[in-house]
Formats: sequence, structure tokens, C-alpha cells
Amino acid sequence: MKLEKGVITNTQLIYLILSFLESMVISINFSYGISKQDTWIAVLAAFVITIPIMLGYTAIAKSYPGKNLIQINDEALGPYVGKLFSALYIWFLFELMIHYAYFFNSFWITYIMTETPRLVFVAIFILVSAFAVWSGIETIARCSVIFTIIVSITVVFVISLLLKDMKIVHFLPILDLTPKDFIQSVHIILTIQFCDLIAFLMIFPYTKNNKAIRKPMLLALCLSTLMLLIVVLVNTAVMGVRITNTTSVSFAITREIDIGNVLTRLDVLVALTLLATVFMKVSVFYYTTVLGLAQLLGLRSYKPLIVPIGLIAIAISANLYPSDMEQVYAGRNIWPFNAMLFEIILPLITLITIALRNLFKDTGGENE
Amino acid sequence: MRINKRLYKIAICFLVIALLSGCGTSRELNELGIVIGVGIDKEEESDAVKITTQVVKPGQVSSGGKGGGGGEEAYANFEETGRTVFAAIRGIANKSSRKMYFPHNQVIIIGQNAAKDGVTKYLDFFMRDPETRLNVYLLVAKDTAAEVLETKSKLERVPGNSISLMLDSEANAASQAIDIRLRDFKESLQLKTVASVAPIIEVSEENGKKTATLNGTAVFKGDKMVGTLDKSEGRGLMWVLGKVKSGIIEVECSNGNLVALETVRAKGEFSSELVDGKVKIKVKISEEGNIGEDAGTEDISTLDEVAFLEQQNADVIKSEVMAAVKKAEELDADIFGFGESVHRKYPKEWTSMEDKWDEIFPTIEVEVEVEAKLRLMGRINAPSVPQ
Repeated sequence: MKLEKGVITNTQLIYLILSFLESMVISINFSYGISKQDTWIAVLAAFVITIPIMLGYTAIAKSYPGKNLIQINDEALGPYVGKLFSALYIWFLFELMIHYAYFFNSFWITYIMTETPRLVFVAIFILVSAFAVWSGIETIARCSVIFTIIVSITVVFVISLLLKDMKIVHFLPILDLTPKDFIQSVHIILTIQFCDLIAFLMIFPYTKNNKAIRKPMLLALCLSTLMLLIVVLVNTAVMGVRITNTTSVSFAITREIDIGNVLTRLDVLVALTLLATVFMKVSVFYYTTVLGLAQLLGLRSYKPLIVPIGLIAIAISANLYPSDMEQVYAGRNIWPFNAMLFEIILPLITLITIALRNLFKDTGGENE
Repeated sequence: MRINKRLYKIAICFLVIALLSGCGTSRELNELGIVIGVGIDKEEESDAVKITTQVVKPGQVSSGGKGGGGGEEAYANFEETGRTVFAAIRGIANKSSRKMYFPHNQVIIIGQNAAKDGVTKYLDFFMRDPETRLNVYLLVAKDTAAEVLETKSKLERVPGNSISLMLDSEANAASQAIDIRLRDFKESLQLKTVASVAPIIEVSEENGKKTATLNGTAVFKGDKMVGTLDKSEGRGLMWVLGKVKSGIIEVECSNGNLVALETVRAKGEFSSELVDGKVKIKVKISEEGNIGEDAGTEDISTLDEVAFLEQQNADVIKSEVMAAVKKAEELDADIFGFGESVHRKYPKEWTSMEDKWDEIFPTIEVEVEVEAKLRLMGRINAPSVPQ
């Protein structure tokens, strides 16, 4: 029984991961206030830590080729524990989806549509995502190609217009922060930015060559870290110390573009680009949530779940936090620990179980 | 059928445009009160803040050509007091038919009283609100900001616009008043030891007509205004920061006649050094200029004379810089950001110096090195007298 009949190529997988990770450009805002001008070092550190974790994820996927996370859980951990793990993962993916919807909504109603109620924006946003999910993984992957190109062009465009406003001294002094702050910042970047790639354990089986996923995954990870690094460097070079109390830095710097009083006020262009990146992120989480749930419940198709899950997501996401202040507090202090359970501890248990099973299988073979 | 479906899709795409403004954020041009200038004054007797907003009258601006003088003004000033800036700005809604619209605001003028009271609380709104922009110019009024915004410009139809254009052209012609945008000011406010500066604008009277004039630079310590720099000290500051774009320097040539030299290009930078725990600042300025005017009758294009003039030029620049340094040390306000440069270069030593910087700053040694060059002599190479 296969719930998704679509197949994506491994090149499309690279684009999908890239566009999925590009929304880091706005979620990195949690870190600026903590690691200040050294955020770029924190990004590098988080990237280094991410690599073994990614190898772990791909090791899980590779030991059961053609199976998604839910099926792997069933096989590796047995029907009961496996189902429990699967339910937890699905909850986590759903949580990520509503958090990103809320998070982006906050940005949008702070800067662009100040008088629009949260519910209206979230409802339309989830609706469009639902349409993408309905069309299946092939459509989402094809979208990602277009969005990745648009986002890359925008980034290059914005950077070239800001060249004259950048100051190298804004990076100095390097590593002028306490170890605790640095670790906290790395932790945030690791859990919020990179490790939600665990969602791709649901998508790997639908790639054309699902044994060779390690290479595209690492390539996409490197490319998106490079982009994030460039964005962070530019933001710091332009903003300097102001970076610590600006709520949406990547957007705020585009408001400072001023080329001879002619090329100015380009902020809405960038806002639309950010919209595209978050749309990809929410669509992927939405898709993996309904797919996983359908798998868990043994349905023949995931499509009947799209509307109910979407409605629940709209209802929760519109009322997720009482205030943005609380959301920032949670993003900095609570969410990284919550996410660690799903992104590091649970996969680690799965991985160890798989390793032990293999070990016993081998020794069992010898005994016979 | 097929074409119908396609038309249907295209129609939907156009309908989506209606959603772009969101709910209730849609505002038409004829409903906006486009703010060009904002004045912030603190009331003498109470703690209330008086906000003056200058709004353009679109009809009057567009009909600028006909009539030629007289007629109605192209702007309207609204004043309102409140305990906070935002409350005062919203209070203007009781007086104006249009809602204030800030994205095109060009200047924020802070009255003397408000500047001395501390500006962070008055500027917070302009940094927080989603509509306001950080590239607006910031000025300090010698008296009240309301008075400056009332002063009609001789050339422009809207005073706020005139002030912003004046700052632009002043920076390119004289470089005696520093042009500061809100984003630069915000940065210096957030750096602990850096003292913020802003140009001063005053209302002067010539032949019974009032004119808004740029005169000097205000120096802030923390967020409170503590003193002023005069024009040459202001340029001294700009030499160090590398912000001088052009300017006229008057020097005496070897026989005592005045010569005006025009600065065409200038670069300024400084570096800090710690020698036996004492801070030493090295300022390096390189300037290129032309001979702009010779008020005497002698030919000054001889090589010896040029070398002499270059030396004189460098001396004037150096004295302007030293005057600025002396004033800054008197006020104990680190307007150049020397402390920040020490912080960047010596982060470890800085931890012990940071809190004592007020005591250290007046005692630091500043060494100025100026390299001035003369490049062009203009269309004549000697004064037009019988040689």
C-alpha cells in the first residue's frame, strides 16, 4: 500500500530541501538578540553539529529503503512502541506547521497588513497550503524549484543594493559574548533552523533513487547554510548593534535600501519572498502530517485528512500564543528543548534499536 | 468550454489583487495626510510633549506653477500635546480630516527642551511603528521645533522638504553640519560609550524675514543633549569620521593674502592603541582639493607656493580636528566613537575600561596626521592683473 504515488527526482529533492531551509532567514531572528554580531559563528557551529545528526537521519532512512518514518517506526520498534513514536512525530510535525504559520503571521501583521485579524491571514495561508498538499509531493517539489530561484535572486539583488551600507567594523569584537549565550544561540539555530529536516524522513521514500539520498541532503544543507551565512553576515554588516533589538532584521534592512532616492521602498518585494519560503515550509509540514496520520490510521489515501487537519491548524494557529512577546520567549527558551526530544532523542533511540537489531541479526546468523 | 475555463482562471487572478491590502489597511491617496516633517517639543512647565506634524496639501503642491507666490500655503501644521508621542500623534485625529501617514516623513526635529530631557523616550515611537522609516533626518532645534516648522522656505513650498534638501546640499557643499539619519542615531544610542550628535537648526531673522538656518552640531551624552559644536568643530568631527564630502578652507598664502581652497575628496579614519594601559588614538586624514579663489594679486601657482598652501591647508584641518577633540573632552562626550574602537580592538582590556570610560576619555592622547594635496587650479592660473 502506497499512499503517495508521485515520485520526485533527487535534483528536485535538493531544491525542496533548499526552499524548505530558506525560511531560516526569518527564524534566525530569535538568535540575533542573544549572540549579537557573532551570530554567524553560531550558524557555523550549528552547521557542524548538524552534519552528524543528518548522517543519523539518513542512516535511519537507508536501513529501510522505500519506507517512510511511520513504517520504519513500526518495523524497528515493534507495533506498539512504534505507533507511539509515530504519533509523537506526527504531533511534532503538526506543531511545527502551526508554529510557522503563527510565526510568519506575526511578521506579516506587524509590518504589512497591520489591521488584518490573525485568523484571516492564517486561514488563507493554510488554505493555499492545503491546495498544494492536495496536489501531492510532485507539485510541491516543482514549486520549490521556482521558489528557490526567486529567493536566491532576491537575496543577491538585496545584497548588491546594500553593499554601500555595510561596515566591516560591525563584526568586531569577535566572540564578545558569554559561553552560555553562545551555546543558547547555537542550540536555537540547531533545533529551530536545521534539525526540523527530520520531516524529510517522510519524503525520502518518494524520491526516484531513494538509496542515494545522503548526497543530495548534505549538498542542500551546505548550500542553504551558505545562504543563511551570507544573509546573517549582510544583516550584521548593515545593522551593527541595532540588530539586537530589531524584530525582523532581514526585512528591516530592505527598508534601508536607498540608491539615490530612486531605488528605495523595496520592502514589499522581500516580504513576498519571505512569504514564499514560509509557504514551502508549512506545505511540507502539512503534507508530512497528513501523510503520516493516514499511514498511522491505515487509510487508503491521505486526502480525506487534509481539510480536518487544516481546520484544526487554522483554529490553533490563530490562537497559539496570547502575545508575540510570549512567542519570542518560548522560541528562545522553551521550544529548543521541546524540539530536541523529537529531533535528537527519539531518532537516536530509533537508530540504536536499528543498530542492535542488525547486530543480533548478524550474530543470529552466525549461530545457525 | 476550454477558453471559458481559462478566462475564469485569469479573472480569479485579478480578483486576488483586491486581497493585497488585507483587511482595512487599504487607504487611498486622497485619504492620507502625508507627513513631511515632525517636531517634538517638551512643554516648559509640565512633562507633556508637544508634537507638530507638517502635512502637505496635495492640491496646493501640484498647482505650484501658476500664480507665482502669494496664495495659500502648500502645507498645514498640526499641533497636539500629550504625555506620550503616540498619544499626541493620534490626538491630531481630532483636528485633521486625514489620518497622519508617516512613510514619507523627511525630518524629525527635536526641540531644545526635549533634547536636554533625553530623546530615547521621544524617538521610541519612530523606531517601533511599522509605518515610520529609519532613514529620516534628525535635527535639533535651537529653540522650539514648532517654530522651525513654521518658518517658510524661500525656495520650497513645504518647510520640512526644504530642511531635508538643505541637509543634502549642505553635506555636499560645506560639510559643516553633520547629516544624521535616525538609523545612525539609533546605532549611537545603543552603543554605550558613543555620544550621539545631530545638526542644529535655528530660526534667524534677515531683513524682517525668518529663515531656518543650519548652525552647528548638538552633542548628546547618553540620550541627553549636553553641548554644542560650532561650525568648524562640527567639520572637525566630520573629518575624523570621514564624512566630509566638500567644503571651503580659507588659508593665507605666504604674503598674507587669503586663498580659498575647495575640498574635493577626503578620507578620514582613526585607530586606537593601548600603550602601557593608556589609550592613544591616531587619526589619519587625507584630503584632496583645488584652488578655488585667490583674493590677492600674486601668482600662487608656483610649486613652492603650492607646497606652502598644502601645509597651511593641513594645519587648518588639524586645528579643526583638535578643536573638536578639545570640545568633546570638555563635554566628556565620546562623539567620535574612540571607546568603541578600543572595544573592538582590545575586547579583553575593554571590560575594565568600559565603566571608567568617562574618566579615561578626557585624558586620552590624540595624534592627528593630515595629508593635504592640491590638484587643480581652475580656468586661470594667475589673478587677472598686469603681471
